[in-house]
Amino acid sequence: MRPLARAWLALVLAFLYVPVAVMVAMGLNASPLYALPLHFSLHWFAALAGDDAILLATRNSLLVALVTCVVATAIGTLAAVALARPDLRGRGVLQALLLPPIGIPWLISGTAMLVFFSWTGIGRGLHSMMLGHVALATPYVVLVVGPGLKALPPNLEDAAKSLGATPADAFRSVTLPLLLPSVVAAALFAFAVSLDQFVISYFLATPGVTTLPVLIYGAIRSGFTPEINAVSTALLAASVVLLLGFARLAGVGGFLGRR
Amino acid sequence: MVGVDVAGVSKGFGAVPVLDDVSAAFAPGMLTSLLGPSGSGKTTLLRIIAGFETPDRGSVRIGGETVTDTPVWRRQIGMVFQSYALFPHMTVLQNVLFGLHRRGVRGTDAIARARATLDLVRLGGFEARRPAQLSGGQQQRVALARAIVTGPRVLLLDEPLSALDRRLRQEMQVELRRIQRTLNLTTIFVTHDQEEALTLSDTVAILDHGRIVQSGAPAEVYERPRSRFAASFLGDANFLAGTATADGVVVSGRLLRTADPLPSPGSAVTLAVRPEKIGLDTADSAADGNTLPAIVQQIIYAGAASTFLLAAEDGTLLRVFAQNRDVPAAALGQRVVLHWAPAHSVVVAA
Repeated sequence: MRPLARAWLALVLAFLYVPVAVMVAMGLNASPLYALPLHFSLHWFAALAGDDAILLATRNSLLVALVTCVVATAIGTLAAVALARPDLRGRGVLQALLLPPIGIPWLISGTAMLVFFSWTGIGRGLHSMMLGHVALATPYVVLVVGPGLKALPPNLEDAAKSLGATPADAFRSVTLPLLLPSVVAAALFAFAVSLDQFVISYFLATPGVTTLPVLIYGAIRSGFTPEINAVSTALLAASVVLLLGFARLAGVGGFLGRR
Repeated sequence: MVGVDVAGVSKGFGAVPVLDDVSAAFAPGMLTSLLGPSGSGKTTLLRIIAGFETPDRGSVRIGGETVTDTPVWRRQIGMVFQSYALFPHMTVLQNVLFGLHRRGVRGTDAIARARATLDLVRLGGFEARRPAQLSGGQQQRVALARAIVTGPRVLLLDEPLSALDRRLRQEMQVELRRIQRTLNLTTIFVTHDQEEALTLSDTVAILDHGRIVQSGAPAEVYERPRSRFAASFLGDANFLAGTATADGVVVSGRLLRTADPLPSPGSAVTLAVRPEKIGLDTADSAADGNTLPAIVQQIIYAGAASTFLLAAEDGTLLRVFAQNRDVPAAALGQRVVLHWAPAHSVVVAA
């Protein structure tokens, strides 16, 4: 039974990874025509550094992701803290309202945002992408930080207050340091959500102001070069690192390293 | 050294009343236990005194100063929680320093005070440890040190020993009493453990359904319970239902005397008799005091003492607790005579 189980697992992993592996391999292949055998080369990566459009899109992606990460983490963490208060009225409703945005198809969110931003005069561009990404990432932050708060030992803030700490001081000196792994995990997740976001960015991009996923999509429509494999590989690597960091800190996906 | 006064405090959570017009005075330098079953309101009363809950009605005074609207962090209290609530990301020393820093004591002065307090709870040398590296009893000592290092006006303890095993709990009871006496600290101690309340306190207050049903010195409350609830929650008691006469109480045709004042003849009366106050004889020899024949139904031998379960003639079940100085000759099914002094028949409210 055991060899069979192992073979099955290998098949599943192959199913998950083969397309991605081919893309990575072609990004490292010297031939522009996907010719085999593979000749290892960093030529396409080197070419990225000279491509102004790609550099600009990368800069935009990182900028939007960074702003999204900081803002969504702050908003989401505070929302999670508010939701954890024992005297909060209507907690069930408020908590339930945080979930649907995750389930709304991005195409619908994107359309809604495009309509709303045009109607209110906010318009399109990096600033509206940031708004859209923050709205998208905040529920995830609440979902990650909430259980972290619940896992804290009881009465810690009460103990701090009995020792003379104001509520703000108690939160800052006791709760926040203990919650830090969850907050950092949520921040990494928010960064990854923004970095990988395509649909909403596509709707809110303007000619010339674009992010990496939108640029990649545009590039494959107009003609596929191995350069796209290289830039995709870079984006893939960034996402994998972010998600592994998240998994390690949030204690999911088989990483049980959390203290 | 200041006292705590609670006057007319009521509190409900939603539609559920938890405290009903509670008034109590906690004397300066004394240790008072709030004893009651879960749901009796004892923890809520403690949290109102601490300032974590606001009473719906009534007031709290610490040292004569009304603190009903003063937030916790300005009340200058010390509190020990059932879960200890030590800060896991700080060392023992940092935990103890936390309150000192919040009250403006800093630097070497603060460290000297923290060390002296850790010595007082016999935890000198543990300063650099984290709470997770300590045993339950040691964590309890850190929690106590952290609560008393700031010189609080009152020390509040919420079932602090309930997570410890029996031996450690007894050791900590002695320690707690020693420290409380050394510092002469007004202390309020919430517990559901009657033995703990008796051995530890200057005063025991028994709570039931949001009211203090009786309070006083442990011996006073134990020897003269005023209600059936107080008699059965603090210790064991036998209850005998009868009818009042001019001389005593008639229980299934026998006159039982009591030292307590009796209601008008003819009214129903409940007598409480502690199991250890009752003597057990195989012959009707004990003439003085109250006597009641009964049949031995079960004998629970526990080394130093035995508990006898007996049935009186009217079917009332009784417990008798006897030290095994001599092994009593009574056997299962045997008819015996129970006897006790009139002073040990306590009239209680049913």
